[in-house]
Amino acid sequence: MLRPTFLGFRTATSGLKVNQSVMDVIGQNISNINTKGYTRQRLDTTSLAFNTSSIKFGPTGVVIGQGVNANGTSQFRDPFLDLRYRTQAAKAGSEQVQTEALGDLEKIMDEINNDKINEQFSHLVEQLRNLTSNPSDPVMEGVVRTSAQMLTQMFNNYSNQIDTVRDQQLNYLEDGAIVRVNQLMENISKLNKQIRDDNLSGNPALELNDQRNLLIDELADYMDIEVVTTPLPIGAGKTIDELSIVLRGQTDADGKSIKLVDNDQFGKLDIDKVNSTDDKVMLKFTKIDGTTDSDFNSKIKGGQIEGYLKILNGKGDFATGTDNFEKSQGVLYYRSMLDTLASTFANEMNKLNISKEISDIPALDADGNQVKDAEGNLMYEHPLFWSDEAEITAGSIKISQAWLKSTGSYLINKNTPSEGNDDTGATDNILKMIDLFNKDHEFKTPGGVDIFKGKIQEFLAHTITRLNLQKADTQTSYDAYAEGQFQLDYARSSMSSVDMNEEGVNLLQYSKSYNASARLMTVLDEMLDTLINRMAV
Amino acid sequence: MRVTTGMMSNKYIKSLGKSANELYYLHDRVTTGRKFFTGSEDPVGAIKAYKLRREYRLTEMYDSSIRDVESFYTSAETNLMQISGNMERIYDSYLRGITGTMSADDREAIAKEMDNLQQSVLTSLNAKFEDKYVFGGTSREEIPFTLVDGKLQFKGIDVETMDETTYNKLVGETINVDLGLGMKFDDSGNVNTDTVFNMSMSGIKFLGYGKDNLYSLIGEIKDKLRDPDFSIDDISPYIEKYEQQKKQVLVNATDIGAKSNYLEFLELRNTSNQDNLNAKILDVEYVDPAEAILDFSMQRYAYNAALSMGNRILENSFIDFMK
Repeated sequence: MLRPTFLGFRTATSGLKVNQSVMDVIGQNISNINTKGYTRQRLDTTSLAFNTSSIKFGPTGVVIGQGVNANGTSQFRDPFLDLRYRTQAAKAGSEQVQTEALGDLEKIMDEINNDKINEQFSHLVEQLRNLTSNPSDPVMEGVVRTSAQMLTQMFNNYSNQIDTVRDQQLNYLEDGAIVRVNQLMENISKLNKQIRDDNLSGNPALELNDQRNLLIDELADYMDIEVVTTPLPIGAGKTIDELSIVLRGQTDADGKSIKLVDNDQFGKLDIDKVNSTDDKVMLKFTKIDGTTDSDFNSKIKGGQIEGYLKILNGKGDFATGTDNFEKSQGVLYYRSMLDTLASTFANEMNKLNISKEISDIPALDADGNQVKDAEGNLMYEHPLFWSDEAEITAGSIKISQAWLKSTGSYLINKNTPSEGNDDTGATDNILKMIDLFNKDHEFKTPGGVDIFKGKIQEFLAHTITRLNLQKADTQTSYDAYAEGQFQLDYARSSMSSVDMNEEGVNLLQYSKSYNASARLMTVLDEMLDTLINRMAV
Repeated sequence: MRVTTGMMSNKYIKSLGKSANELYYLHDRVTTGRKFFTGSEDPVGAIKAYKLRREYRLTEMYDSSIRDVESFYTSAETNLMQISGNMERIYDSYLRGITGTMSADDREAIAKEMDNLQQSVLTSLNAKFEDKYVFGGTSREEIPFTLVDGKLQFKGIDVETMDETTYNKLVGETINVDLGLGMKFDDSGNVNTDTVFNMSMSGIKFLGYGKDNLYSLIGEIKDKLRDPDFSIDDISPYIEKYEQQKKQVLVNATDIGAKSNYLEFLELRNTSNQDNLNAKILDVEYVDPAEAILDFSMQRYAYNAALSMGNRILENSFIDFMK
């Protein structure tokens, strides 16, 4: 086969060009060594050879390749690792939100490090005991009343603080998580459009891909998502990928997957409403086609959004519906536990402060509510505790006006009068009040579900311990998922991050290759000089 | 596995943070002496701690209740000794009065003395301790022993005409206190008397009721002494009745003594309970200081090692050796 005279120069030029490009890629890698989300790039090269298929006769003699060709840049990235990372992120996100909220609740209720409501119960019992040394003494009764008042104020305070935690969580969900999710969906769709346009014109848009992957990673923290890519033919046998994001494993009424982002379009997440009857937070999702899905709560599995819904909607034993978030123990569960404690305690105390037999007093109606007369006064003979609402709750419990205004002895010390003219020194009924703290009570939900049988303070300890255990559990899960997430990110980094040593070695290697190509050019030049100027002179 | 500089520094920062966290936690342990700071760190420990604290708080309350009752009994004992002393003196006067060799003036003098002693007994019976009448049963506001038209009344009921049922009811008045005997109520809301301590004392128990009550007895002896037709035969029969009542007072004094001893035993038992609970609380909630300091020192060592490692891990790369 006839060899063109300047054939070797093409080979040398391609070597120079490709090695220069590699150096540029190395430069890009080194300069982005600390850029968040940057994926290490490489230049894809192939060796060049003659195409002999179009010539009439087969080539004679040896066929030698004609240099190197740069096909394009690509990234070191494993989509499977991305998938695993994002699944893990959704799990970690949910546990993280719950751990933080439960930590806030624990700060309110935990009594390991300082004395709070449990100690105040003990204080009240102590004052009642002191009263047995001086029954009917208005001064000593005043001390009991002050202690009881402190207790009611603590209940109010707990209830307030728990409500504050709930408001905060609702705020984090509404103005934090949901706003961010909507931003992310919008930004991802914008990047989708840019990347598609770039791809159409032959630009791989690797840096934009990195940006988009970062946003998808973040979105995975909020919801359990799945990334779907669809190849789109653009003619000449070429395809580009279109990206959409769906909720993993969830379908709408028509059995179609729920698309959060579809190429350059995106949906919108909102809080539909907060039910006034049961305080339930309802999410709605405006789909890409403009229709709304108002039963979006049931579609949420995993991610921070799930964490918020569990904390906000969770009622545990107090759940009446079948909503999956209602069954978990959220803020409302712990508030209801405190309400149960406050009402059980107050009603039992009120039932005791009577001078007649218990059966004479209409204590509770069929629904378990306190019976009040036309003026709204409790029908107890000498109520100790009171609520302006229909039922005593932790938030509304207070000392009754009658007790507050009493100047003499108000606590009944004896149910059955004695023979003589004075039994103000008797302690029988006060002992009954003390015994209230010693004996077992049955704690029930308003729906009548048994939640606990035991002493008043044991129920409180039971509630706090439940919180402790739940916090410890979610913390352990979170630590495990977060560690898994870190490990997966570590594995991802192992593939995608830039290594200084490698780039240094490449730097040396490719600068040498560049020099070699230049050398080839010089040698070829010398050969031509020999051929043209020196031969047959 | 391919390990890059970025991975190394990320992992290093993470473990350094973890190490520092642990260091501060152990530091808190040393300074507070506590094993855990929130229930979620050690839920089982927290359950135990809450229970032990409640029980310990109870023993504190029992302790103060037992002391209260003890001082009440001391006061009762003092007053009862006084009454007993007065009765002894009345008995002496009585023996002097019945010799029959005395003139009416002498007898009047003895009767006068008895007047005073009788008054004194009444005062002792109405003795108060911390706003409570020691021998008044459940009385607190009304004086238990009163004289209405020269007749003795206990809690507003005439002692001389009192019947046995009323007497039993009055003597049976209770001031129960919970001294850690496991107070229990039955289903109808009555306290099980074995599980509480009854500190009520009715003066009428040793004063007696009906015609032969101590106060009336002394009154009658006085009347007989003042009687112009005084004769030994008239007054002699009272000696037996009087001696009987005097014995009653002494029996009650011994009874109180026995109860005081019982209280001392309760106090001792409670204190030892308290010590046991305290030891358990220390075990559950607090760390051994030596162990805490050792843990802290070890962690400080690990933290310092991690710090000095950092420089070496991130020190050089191939770039530093390129020519």
